[in-house]
Amino acid sequence: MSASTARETHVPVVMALLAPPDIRPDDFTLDVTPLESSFAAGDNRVLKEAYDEYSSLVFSLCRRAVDNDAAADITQEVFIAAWRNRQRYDPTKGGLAPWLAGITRNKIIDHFRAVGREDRRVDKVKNTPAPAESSERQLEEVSLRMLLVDAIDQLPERSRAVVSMAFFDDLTHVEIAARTGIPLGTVKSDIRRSLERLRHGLGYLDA
Amino acid sequence: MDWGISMPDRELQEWTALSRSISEQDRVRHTPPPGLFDLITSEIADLEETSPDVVINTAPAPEPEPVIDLTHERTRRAPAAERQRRRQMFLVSIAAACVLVVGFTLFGGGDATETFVAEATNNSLPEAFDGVATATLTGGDGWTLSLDFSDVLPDDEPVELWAIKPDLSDMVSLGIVEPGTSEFVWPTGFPPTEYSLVDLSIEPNDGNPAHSGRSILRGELRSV
Repeated sequence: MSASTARETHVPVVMALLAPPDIRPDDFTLDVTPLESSFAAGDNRVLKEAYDEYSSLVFSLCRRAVDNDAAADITQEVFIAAWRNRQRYDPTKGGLAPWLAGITRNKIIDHFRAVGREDRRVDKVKNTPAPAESSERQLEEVSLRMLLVDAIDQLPERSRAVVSMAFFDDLTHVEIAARTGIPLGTVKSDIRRSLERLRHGLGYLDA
Repeated sequence: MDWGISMPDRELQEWTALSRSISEQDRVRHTPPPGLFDLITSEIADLEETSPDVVINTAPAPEPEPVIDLTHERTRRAPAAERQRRRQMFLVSIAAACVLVVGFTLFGGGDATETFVAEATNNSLPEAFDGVATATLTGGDGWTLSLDFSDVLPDDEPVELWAIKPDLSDMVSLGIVEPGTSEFVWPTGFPPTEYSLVDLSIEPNDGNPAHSGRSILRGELRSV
């Protein structure tokens, strides 16, 4: 490696150390939202807040597997089950969105099992084919992708841009820093903290 | 992939792969029908009014139930349109009130405070399982069955809850027992005095909706 190459390689590090205050890493000190913190012990206002925040996700996930009426029924069941078992939600284990998505997947599977039984009873058909996205594995994949869409959307603006460049444009940290003018260390911090937030937004340990 | 100064990060690569599998359909969000939240709060209020507390069975364990091979018994699903009908009924509130009164009479809703309790055990069942579940069925405008477990359920295969007639002439599924769910709406039209066996079975994901015959807990509902 030549001396000039070595100097070029170290330039971004120096820039990171000298990063001005207005481009510090985004503040992720509060991965657990106030809604998530208050859900387990909350009152009906919290239920409304949770419904406003997540009913579209739940209903849309249902719509990937069932028709509009069944999706409404399942969404209703999901929020009733979630509310009646709210004391079991622990925000330190993951986000409310993946917890609700887990309940939604189970309710959709319940729905198809029930439909299968009815078809079998009425039509004497043993193996009723389920719609395209009704298998557990497919449902899990769909819900993960939908959760990721929402989790990325909820990242702070600069982090969302940085993560999008890393995820979708296949750019290295150095290339992102060069393209955006953000110090390399800040890029790395944004990505690391974004991944922490995405983990919270997609996973629930008991789901 | 070259990640520049960072070493390739396996987790980041997994996130990248997941991100790139996102389709336009995954970004579509539908709005639930108007009024759905009111239905949810209404049903929650009903459930909390009719089943305020889980009753813990402290009675001595009954004699072991006779082992019944359910593998070849026919199954019956919970009424498919039940929830949708309930939703429609809510929207026509006055008519709904009439239907509920009639339904209460037809189905013999009985005493609003009536409670049945079953201690479901593994006694004499061929499928090995350590644990006991207490099922408490509380009646009102609707019946709610609460399950209280002494031990964790198997987490590698789904467990399904059934109500079965002792003479095996019929059975109905109450749903999958999943983490975070301990209460089940008892379907109308299935009197607990007739569908008195509570059964939990392991149900493999094999596409066959019939009872697998792999019961892990079973008990009989008794009026308390």
